[in-house]
Amino acid sequence: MVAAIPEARVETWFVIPLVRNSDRRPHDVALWGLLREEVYEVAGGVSGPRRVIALIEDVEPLPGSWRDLATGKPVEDESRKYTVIVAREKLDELRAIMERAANSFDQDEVLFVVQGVDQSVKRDPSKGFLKDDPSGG
Amino acid sequence: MVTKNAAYRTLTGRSVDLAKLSADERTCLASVVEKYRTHPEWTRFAAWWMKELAKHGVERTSALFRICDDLEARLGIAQGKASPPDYRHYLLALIEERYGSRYQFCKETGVDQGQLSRILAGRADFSLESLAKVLRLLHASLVVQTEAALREAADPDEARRLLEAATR
Repeated sequence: MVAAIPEARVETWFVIPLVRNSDRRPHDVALWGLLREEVYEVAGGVSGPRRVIALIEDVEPLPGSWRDLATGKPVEDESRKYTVIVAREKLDELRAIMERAANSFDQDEVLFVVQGVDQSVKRDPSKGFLKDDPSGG
Repeated sequence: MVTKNAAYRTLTGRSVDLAKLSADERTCLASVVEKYRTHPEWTRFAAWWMKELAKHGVERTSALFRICDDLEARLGIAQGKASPPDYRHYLLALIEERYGSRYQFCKETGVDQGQLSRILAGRADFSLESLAKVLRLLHASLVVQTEAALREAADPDEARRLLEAATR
């Protein structure tokens, strides 16, 4: 049985491929911890042990499920999917994390879905990097 | 029981004082180590430990979060799903351990904050002279290792054995 989500909180999910877009190498392992820290901070506050990341799961490569924005060719990448329960008023902050994650994880686009609606974010270098990612300087 | 002065060291060299864990946290750690012994898949372990810590009411600021994050990272590397941390993470860990922050490090040592920032961002490089200076200030040495050796240093079983020994 799945517990109902209070109206003030919404279910979101996003997907991060396991490899960098530019050189197809796996990400620096530290980035995954930085991502979790930021998501916890926005969705869970600093003190609560609440289950803000409801689920993390692998997403197997699906032929043609991704499209390289530059070449238009389908890309098959194994990915991690995070399901996050967040207060409605924190959605913009979560979206900002996705924008920074796109830069840190070297992705042209991060698939981000809010209550079933695709709100994917595209890479924008001006948005910066995840907190404590040395790439941010 | 946690032995006196027992410390866990993360991949990047950050020290976590196990003696500061509460009784509840130690119970939770024992359960984490038990799970880890089964060599779980990287993402499954990530999902599991967060649930487990929530179940035990462990605060996000607890050292246990850092330990679990590190254990997960080691699995990711061992299973080929992630790369070992690059040198910048080791450098930042050392700076934070010894000086608390990059700002404080630069203030106390005279290292230019802007230059350090550009280097970390990959927009500049250390000269050999400035690298030697930073390493000297941090009481650190530059070691050239093969990727295989780096992966070996991230061995999940080694971390588990250390935690088992410390919490026995």
